Amino acid sequence: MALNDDRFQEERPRLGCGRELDDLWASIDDPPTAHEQSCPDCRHARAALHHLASVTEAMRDADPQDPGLQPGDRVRNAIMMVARAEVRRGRRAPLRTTTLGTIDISEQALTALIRFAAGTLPGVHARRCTISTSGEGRRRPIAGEAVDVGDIRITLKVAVASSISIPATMVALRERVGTVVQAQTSITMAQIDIVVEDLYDV
Amino acid sequence: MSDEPAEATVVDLASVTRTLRTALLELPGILRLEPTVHSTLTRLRTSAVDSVQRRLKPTNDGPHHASSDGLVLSLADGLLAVQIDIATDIGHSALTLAERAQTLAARTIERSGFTVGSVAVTILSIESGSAPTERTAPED
Amino acid sequence: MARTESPAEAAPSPVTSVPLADLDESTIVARAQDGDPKAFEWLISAHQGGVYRLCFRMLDDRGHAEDIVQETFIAAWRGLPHLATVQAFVPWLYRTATNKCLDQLRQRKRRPVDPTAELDGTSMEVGGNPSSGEDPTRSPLLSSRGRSALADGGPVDPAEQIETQEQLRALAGLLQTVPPGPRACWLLREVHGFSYHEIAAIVQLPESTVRGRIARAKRVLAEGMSPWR
Repeated sequence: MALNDDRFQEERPRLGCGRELDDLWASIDDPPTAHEQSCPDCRHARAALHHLASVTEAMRDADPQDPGLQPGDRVRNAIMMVARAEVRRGRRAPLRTTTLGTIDISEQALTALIRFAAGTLPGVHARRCTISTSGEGRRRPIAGEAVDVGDIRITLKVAVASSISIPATMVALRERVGTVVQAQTSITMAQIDIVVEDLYDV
Repeated sequence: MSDEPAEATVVDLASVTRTLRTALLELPGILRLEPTVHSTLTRLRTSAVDSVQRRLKPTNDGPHHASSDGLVLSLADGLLAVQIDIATDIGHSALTLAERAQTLAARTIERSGFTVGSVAVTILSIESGSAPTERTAPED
Repeated sequence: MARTESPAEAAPSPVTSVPLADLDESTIVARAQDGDPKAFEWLISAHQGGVYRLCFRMLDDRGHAEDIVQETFIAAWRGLPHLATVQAFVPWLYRTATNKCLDQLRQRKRRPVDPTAELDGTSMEVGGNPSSGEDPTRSPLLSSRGRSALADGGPVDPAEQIETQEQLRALAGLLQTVPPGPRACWLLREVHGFSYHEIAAIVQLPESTVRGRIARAKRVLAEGMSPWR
């Protein structure tokens, strides 16, 4: 970073008395020093900066409340339209083949279901969830390909409330996730790994 | 509802798609037919092909594909294959709902005068029943 | 932690989960990384206002600011799975938006006559005066001794409200005379509350340069504000 400093280095503004403006700004809330009291440059600059600081603060407070300074709804709608159209569905897990045809579930729907199930337990915030099968090893899964539902292993990362008992919660969490996934999809998961990656305060 | 068409006249695929869509959305627990890149691309391709065909062969007996969000219909050798992409309410078993959707789709297709080839259903989302437009995030 | 579990049969399916609003933001970012549209929509609600205000103060044009908010969040959706840490999300948003604003201002400078800006008549950058580029030379406040207009002014005006409004308008207008680079740094620091270190990462410049730019912006603004005090 420092190598090319010269190219980017821009002159820092100084007052007539030679002092850097940034230094003055840093001590703007302190009482004026002896120099600042006697030096007209510093006194004028202090007054101007004080004034700027108060107007800046007013802007910082007023802008977020100003309905005219919000993007219109069309912006959110346009973003979400693209986002929904581009949802990464991941692989498919075949659930059943009837006489009419196949029924499957997308990997994304399954991980969302697992997060939902985990979130029904108090003190658990479900984060990222990945699905693997023992056969695939370290190979990167390909979107759209089928998952072997007889051998589904999940890794779920969670943040938990600092107040809860982690071992008891982990037992309940595995059971809850297993039950909900079974009830919704008939999948019996081979393995449920849970990684506590964060604690949050209640 | 009109009577069962005993002498089934082959209606165009687009109208079957509309009928199918309405029927599926009436199934309790189906929240949406979910648009996918596949159904969107098929729709674009179909309309493009459609307009080309209209220009070149005005008497063409219609496209062999039709689609709307979450629905793709394709006709080959007299058999109609359907792909349905659904979002379901977590209050219902997603698998059970998917099976109901399959049966309902097959019945609807037959009533329209087509022969069912296959009906594939993909569950793309399972959601708690709250309104999808609900907004709870704070404004900063 | 790994353990095989055989789930209990036929328990009723629960229908309530923690609402998004009650989750920590890191969890919501993680879910958006996994492709959860609702989590992503929550992030839009939480951050679109801030990003929009940055863009609006940079560009002084609502339509263009909205366009950049839109582009930024769409890029975010596409880039989220590759984000290294959840904490990097917000700085990433601001970096993307800042870069897009600076690009647009460079384009305006190349094509000085912007029909859109002329229509709403609000742009102060129309005309692309080259002297309003990276290094303004006018700085009477700092070079001239003996100016007294600014000295020791306190808020004593009874019509303080109205005056504040006028001052806000004055500051907003003046901001458009600050060169884009310093303007972005000043906004990120003074309005959006990022640290020098964070801004250095956002604008991809050394921290010393960021400090210099912010000081230059303050000089232009403090001096320009003087007639109102």
